[in-house]
Amino acid sequence: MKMYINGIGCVAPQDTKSKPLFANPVVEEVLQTSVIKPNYKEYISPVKIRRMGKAIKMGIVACTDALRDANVEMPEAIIGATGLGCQEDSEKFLEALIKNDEQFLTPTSFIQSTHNTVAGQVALMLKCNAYNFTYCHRGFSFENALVDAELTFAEERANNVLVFGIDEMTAHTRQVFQRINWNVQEPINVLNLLDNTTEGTVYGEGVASFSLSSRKNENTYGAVELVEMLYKPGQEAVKQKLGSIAKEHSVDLVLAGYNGDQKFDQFYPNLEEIFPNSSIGAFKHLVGEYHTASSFALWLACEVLADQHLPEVVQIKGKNKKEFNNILIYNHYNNLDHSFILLKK
Amino acid sequence: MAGKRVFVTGLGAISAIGSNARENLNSLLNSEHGIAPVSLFETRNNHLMVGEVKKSNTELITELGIDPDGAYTRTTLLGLMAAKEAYKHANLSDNSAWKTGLISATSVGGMGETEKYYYDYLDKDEHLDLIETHDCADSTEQIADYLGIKDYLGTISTACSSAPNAIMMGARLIKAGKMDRMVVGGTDALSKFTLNGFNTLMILDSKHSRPFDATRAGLNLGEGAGFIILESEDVVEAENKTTLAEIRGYGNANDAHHQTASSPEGNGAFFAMNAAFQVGGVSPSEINYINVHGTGTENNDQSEGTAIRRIFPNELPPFSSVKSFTGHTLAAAGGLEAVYSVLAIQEGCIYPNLNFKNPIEGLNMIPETNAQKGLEINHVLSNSFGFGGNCTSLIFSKSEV
Repeated sequence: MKMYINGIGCVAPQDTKSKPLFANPVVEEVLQTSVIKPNYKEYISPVKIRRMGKAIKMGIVACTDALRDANVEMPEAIIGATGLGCQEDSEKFLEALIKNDEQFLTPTSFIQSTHNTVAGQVALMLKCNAYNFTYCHRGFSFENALVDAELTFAEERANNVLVFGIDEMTAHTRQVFQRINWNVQEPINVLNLLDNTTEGTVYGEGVASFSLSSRKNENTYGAVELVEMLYKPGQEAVKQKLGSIAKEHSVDLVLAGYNGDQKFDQFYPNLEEIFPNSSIGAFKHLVGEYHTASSFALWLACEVLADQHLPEVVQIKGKNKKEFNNILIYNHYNNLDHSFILLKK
Repeated sequence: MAGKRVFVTGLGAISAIGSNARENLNSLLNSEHGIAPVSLFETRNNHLMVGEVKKSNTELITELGIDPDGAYTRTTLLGLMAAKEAYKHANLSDNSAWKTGLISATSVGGMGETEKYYYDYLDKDEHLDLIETHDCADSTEQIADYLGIKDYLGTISTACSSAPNAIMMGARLIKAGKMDRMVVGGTDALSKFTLNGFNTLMILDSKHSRPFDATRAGLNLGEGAGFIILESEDVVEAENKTTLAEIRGYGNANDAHHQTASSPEGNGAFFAMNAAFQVGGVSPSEINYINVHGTGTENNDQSEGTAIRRIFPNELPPFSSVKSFTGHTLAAAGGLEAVYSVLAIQEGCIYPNLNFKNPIEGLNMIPETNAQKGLEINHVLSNSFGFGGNCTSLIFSKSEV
């Protein structure tokens, strides 16, 4: 079953709208990345903006952009993906609970704390009664959602499906991650993340949304050819998987999920060896690490296909390709969840 | 899409009314509920009535025979209990012959532990190993590791409809021929976070809940886990397996009305039930029992009742809510109720709806209040609805029908 990407939307710690893309990437000394705040008023009524948590707002922006881009008014399924869900509201409610010893609590942040809040709010905004799912499985969250979309098309239940990956990072969660050396202890220039010599990565956040269709049209960015997941595969299985993809598809660009933390980056095999004729790029030095970061990579892959241009800051090694037809995203989260997404022009 | 038939071959349940599926069934048929004031943790709200699993984490760890020094959330331990039972019930031991996956559901994940050590994590070293267990996927991966499952992993969190969505996705993966066997269900432990959250919404009854009663005043929370094993017709045939039921229908829709409240006309519920009937090729008149979501809140029962009446305008099959037995176990609820639905088919029984006295005005709906046995139950409709407008309905059918 072919699955085409006909519309995209993205809110990230980088400017995702100006062209050429990432000509002037945001360079900051940070412990964690934060999204560049969109002009929410263009998307949401001011009364609602005040009450909505950040994840809901940026989710609505990216989903609205993806639907507008695809010229779809009403998707026939909404499938969300998030590793940690609405962290900000969860923490707000929990902190109030602890500080006030379970007294004087108000429901707003609790209401917005459930993992399915964003998908629910998008449905509410669109008055969309269709199929609605939210996947929350670490480095498989977004891939779970793509597999669901694939099935939905195969079942002929829909022609247009909205899929998004979203995560938000808070100061508290970052501090907690610092305690177990998942996050760096000292601020670093995020663009140099991949050269990090200390333990930990820079956790981040963002949302990327896709209007998927079983039908190709003039706005199609590409087709999602392959979505595969390997759980705790071990290095041999990863090499085999990548090898078989290299054999079957002429991959022009590999976007790899390096996050600058050696204890996890060491599990990426030598990609130049497996893909000797490809450009090798990375993306977490632009946005940071998060459970649904592969959704940002897929958005980036769409842009590269559309522009037929690989931003300089993205390429880290390999050949200097000028033409892009097949882009592979290979990501893993903490060497637990390894995923492979192939986008074909 | 025709696809492969999907059978249920194993059941596992742990809740306030029993530590395995059989104990749960007996409690249901004997009208023995598990609702009592909170005792699991210190809380200012200890007057609230909940359905707690009557085993400590230490007891669960011992029963599971896992490393006592490991980092487990209560959500994980409950999930392990039910998933292990279902796996054994289906006589599974080796996952290499068939493509085997696990999709689990949880709404709180490790919140019960996070709320204990939220600030301690920042400056004390004692519980740092629990940090990795906070997210929803941790319980799923621990269950997968315990059962040796690797081929497909997924976690779903759609509030109170989570487990039925896990079951639905598992069934779809098998039907499409992508997987042969799926362990599916949900798990949620009680936490102060959810207790206080529901309390601020003023939808908790301080007394024992009364689903579908005119005087209902809210729900009681609960905890537990419910898992079932789904296998394709190919596996069943090749291994000559005993099947417990077939999963015929599933439907998912969004109410798109309000973040937490259901629409007065029950649109999401109506669309979900309708979709389940369509997928299953089952007609409403064939349903012998409806396991309703029936939380006991003013809003849910009115909305769900209205939706059910739209599907069943005249003849209404027997129906009941089991929430007054187990409490509302959130992401696990639809997993437990899937187990109960399959047992209803197996045992030819219908469970009583406790504490019902007066019907809701205008709906003309009277739930079953006594346990019924010796019936022919061919098709069961099971409903689960949640925050975010997420609505899911499943239809379980007798295998040979």
